[in-house]
Amino acid sequence: MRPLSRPSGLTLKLEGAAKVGYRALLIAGAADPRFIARHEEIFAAVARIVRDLVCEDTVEDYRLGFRLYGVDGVRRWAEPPAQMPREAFVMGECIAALARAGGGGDPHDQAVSAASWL
Amino acid sequence: MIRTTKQYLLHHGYEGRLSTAGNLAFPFTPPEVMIGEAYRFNVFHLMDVDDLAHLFPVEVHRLGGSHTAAPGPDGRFRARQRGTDIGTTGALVIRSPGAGDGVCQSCRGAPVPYPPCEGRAEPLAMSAGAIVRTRATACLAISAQRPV
Repeated sequence: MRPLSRPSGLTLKLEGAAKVGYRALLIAGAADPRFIARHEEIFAAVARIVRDLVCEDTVEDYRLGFRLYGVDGVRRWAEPPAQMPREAFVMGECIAALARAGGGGDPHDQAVSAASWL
Repeated sequence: MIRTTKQYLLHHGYEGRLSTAGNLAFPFTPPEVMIGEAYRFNVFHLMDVDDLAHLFPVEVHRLGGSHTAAPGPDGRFRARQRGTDIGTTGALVIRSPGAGDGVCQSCRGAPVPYPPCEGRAEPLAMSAGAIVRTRATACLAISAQRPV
């Protein structure tokens, strides 16, 4: 409980948000029990591979993450589920300062096409 | 970024993998979607104030009533919007200093009762039935007070 510093006892709440860049999503599903069981190490390994490909020796100027809805997409559970689901929703999320690597063009295309050589 | 990620997640050869044709199922293609600007919650101020009302000033003028607005040369009340004369009206006019005028897009048709004040500011405008967004984000309905 915070102390009241005005006799009125009145407070005004101000909330705000700052732009952090552009967001791109990967929308997919998984029905492979092996993939679902090992999703944590798979996501970590793929994030490493992508970082080494995209950044090479430069600093990581983006944020990449994954959620496996059906298992632990909503919150970080202390324990794994008693039984893994037979299907799960895979969501990849990338937030980058620019929507397109190197800048230019339509900013709304950016985060999708950073690796157009693939 | 996300396209590279898709490619490597789809074909990542983890230990014990059997499904060499691909790890993922895509509901549509392309499965990479750009969803625009991203924001992070970063301001949470709880401010002690002496008075709330003065932080959200709203002035209400009732044309043709007992308040301060005066009729034009033709004896009728004129409504203006962004400096342009938009016609004659007998509507209740609301002014919120600093907020500008306009029709609220989000809460149209949800009038909030508000008592008229004795303010002397010049009315900004509004035709009958319009709704003005005030600086306090509340929206005030304007109802016709007499026939135009």
